[in-house]
Amino acid sequence: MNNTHKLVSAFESSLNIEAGLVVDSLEYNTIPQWDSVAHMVLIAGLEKEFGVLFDMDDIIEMSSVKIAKELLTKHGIEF
Amino acid sequence: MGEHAQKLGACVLITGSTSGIGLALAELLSGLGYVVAINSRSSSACEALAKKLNGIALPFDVTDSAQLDLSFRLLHQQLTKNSIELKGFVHCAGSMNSAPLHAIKADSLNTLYLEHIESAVMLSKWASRLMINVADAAMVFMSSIVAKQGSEGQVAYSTIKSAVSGLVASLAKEVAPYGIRVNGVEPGVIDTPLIHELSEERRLDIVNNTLLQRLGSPEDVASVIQFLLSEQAKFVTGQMIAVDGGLKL
Repeated sequence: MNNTHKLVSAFESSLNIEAGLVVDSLEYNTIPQWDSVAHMVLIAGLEKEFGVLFDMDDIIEMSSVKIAKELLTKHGIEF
Repeated sequence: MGEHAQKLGACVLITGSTSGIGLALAELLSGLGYVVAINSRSSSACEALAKKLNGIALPFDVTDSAQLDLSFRLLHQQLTKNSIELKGFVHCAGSMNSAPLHAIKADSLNTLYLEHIESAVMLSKWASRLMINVADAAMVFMSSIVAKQGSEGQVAYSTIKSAVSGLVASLAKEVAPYGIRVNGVEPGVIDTPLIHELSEERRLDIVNNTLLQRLGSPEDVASVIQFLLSEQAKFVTGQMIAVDGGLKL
């Protein structure tokens, strides 16, 4: 499984959404499934999937799929 | 599966666990098979106790946010490496400062705030992150009997400790969706280094005002915290439990 597949899988399982919804333009709080509660589940899911630990500031900043990729790139994950 | 085996792979972080109630709790939980993460400001004390209990030494000052961040990263690394889950967090660190109203200094009030409240919030942020997706995770915070009953000479301490009940009530609501329970305990007068400054006369007075006619022991409080962390308390959250032997101040 490549990193993009891992990212989509983490979003899919953490937010309980269809994989097709996981595109760069998907933003926090624009769908009912990505609310503040699910956001922390998503963070935990991404951390577990990629073996990283985000900075506290990054958790607030992660407001879209695109930004999630950018933050993971800071941890050496390539897309 | 026996209780001991059930706890294998489960870690409880206890701040202030090299003395007093924290130490009693660390020894109790270790005996039940939990991996205890031992914290205090003293590296040597943490390492000695962690070695004795086969736990994890995590020395840091709970009022130092940089140390706190780094320590949680180290804890996360160790837990991940050993396939251990953070099942519990107990915040025992903190000092007591007794002074009459006219002698309270802003600095000492601020120190109490940092030790008991700001640290509790910042530690909760980290602990709850590591507890998401962990079954039966729980946190316990230390308040005091003086938060409800008040005590002469403890305006500052009781004010700070009363804030713990607000923290517990709100935090319990915020983390309930993740299955994390949050409770607090309100110890009475417990025979720990915190009360060594009390005169013998004052200690006797306290004993006489306690229904059970003795000071509490650290083990008395530790056993209640252990219950709150356990599956036996799986339907208990947002509560403050007094452990005071029936003391009326």
